[in-house]
Amino acid sequence: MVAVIEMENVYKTFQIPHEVHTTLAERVLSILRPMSYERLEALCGVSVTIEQGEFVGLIGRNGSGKSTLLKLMAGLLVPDSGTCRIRGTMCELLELGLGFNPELTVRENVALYASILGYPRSELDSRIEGAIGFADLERFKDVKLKSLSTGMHIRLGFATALQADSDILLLDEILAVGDGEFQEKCIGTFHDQKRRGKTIVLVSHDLTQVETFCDRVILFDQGKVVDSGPPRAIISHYQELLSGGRKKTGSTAG
Amino acid sequence: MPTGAPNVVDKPWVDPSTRSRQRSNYSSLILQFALKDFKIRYTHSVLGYTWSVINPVIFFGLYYIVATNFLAVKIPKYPAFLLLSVVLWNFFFEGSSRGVGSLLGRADVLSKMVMPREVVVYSALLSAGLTFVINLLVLLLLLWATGTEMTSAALFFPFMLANLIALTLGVSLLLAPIYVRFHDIGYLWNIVLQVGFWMTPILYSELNVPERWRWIVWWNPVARILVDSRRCLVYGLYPGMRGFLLTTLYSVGILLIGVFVFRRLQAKVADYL
Repeated sequence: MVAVIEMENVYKTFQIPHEVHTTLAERVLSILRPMSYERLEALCGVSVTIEQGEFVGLIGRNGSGKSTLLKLMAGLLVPDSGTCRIRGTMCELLELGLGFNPELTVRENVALYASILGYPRSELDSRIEGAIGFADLERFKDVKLKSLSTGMHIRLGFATALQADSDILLLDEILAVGDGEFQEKCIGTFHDQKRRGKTIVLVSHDLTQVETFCDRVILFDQGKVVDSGPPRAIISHYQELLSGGRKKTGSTAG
Repeated sequence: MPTGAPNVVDKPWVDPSTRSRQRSNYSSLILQFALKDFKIRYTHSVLGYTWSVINPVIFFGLYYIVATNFLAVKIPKYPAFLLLSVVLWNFFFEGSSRGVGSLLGRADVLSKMVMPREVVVYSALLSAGLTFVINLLVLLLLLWATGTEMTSAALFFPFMLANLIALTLGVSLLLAPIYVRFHDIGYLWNIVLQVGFWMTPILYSELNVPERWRWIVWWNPVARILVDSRRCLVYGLYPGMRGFLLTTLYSVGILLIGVFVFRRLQAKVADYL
């Protein structure tokens, strides 16, 4: 197999300023003091290799570092140390909503994203129509996006990203929404992508979905890779981790 | 759906953070962002784009009344003098405020999509530039209506515009990434612009400034551009060559600093958006 994403010993720390100035005097005095920061170690020494044609799921609790890793893969964030490298074209669909502009029409929004994603100019129009068609939004083509439902937003985002037809697709929590019919469509698309040797990395909390789609699952906890392997085994490991956490809090509470 | 299995093996390894540069069609992206921005700005208004003309015209009228009646400013060809100054200042004001706030204002897109981040700054300026072009047309109309004679010195005006654009772009590129980290920059720049309005000979002439205050005009790059623009466009006089070169050096210098700082800081921008 051929590796398409390689991350080696990646560290990423965020500095979050403390903001607890309750009184005006404190607020004034705080100007004189240097700002204090909370160091949030999002990733500590993560190494991941993903191969062509793989469909990889990243799972873990909230704040375990999986979304940060996805952003590093996408190149939105730069690691503090360690190396990231990718090959082939890549398209990312991070967080719900995509940053579409509610004041623009459906078509204008897709066209703007098409420019960012860099569709070839000759295929621009056909791909824009393709994306709108895939999202089943032809009727609303010239409607401002703000009058559409959240589910429609996400469908549109997903459809737009698919049209980029890139070698690697990064998806963050996008399958949880959308009605049954659209999910069916997505499943069909994923099989199609797999057949064509595309690589997909997916962050999700929907464990059933992860189990159905993924060839391999990587489990994160506290910024580290805890386990990696076939879906069923890793998911049960994750469930142990979750119930372990619950037991602990349960015992302190009781 | 396009077809063709990916031939990933032949493709080179790249650092994902450099990816944005290879993928987007730069110029069309800048234009798209600017046009959409311009469109959204007037989306809920009846008069629409006309506002971009009404606004400077009203302020021009107001300043004209105040300056000629209350302050007793006596400057030859004052209407043309004033409108030119107001139009140029407005571009600097609008361009730099939009430019400085552009990264933060587009956080929604920038934190989710990989794209060259400077595109957002350029398009903010271009969007202000659209208003500027309309205003310049109004200015030409006034110059024609007041019978202002154009001489060959007017050929210098495009260079003044280039300097103004370089300066505005430089300031925007310099401050936009710092603003993302320290929101104080927004308040600070606002104050600088308000002080700048009075410390720049817009309503008055540089000749009204007493000798011992002249250094303010001398060191203020916008003032230098304004003074020389009026010389060549309104009065048909050539700008002093040494002064003109110095202005150019000044603007280009700030642009280069802006580009340098932006390149250094842009990778970290997403951490704070």
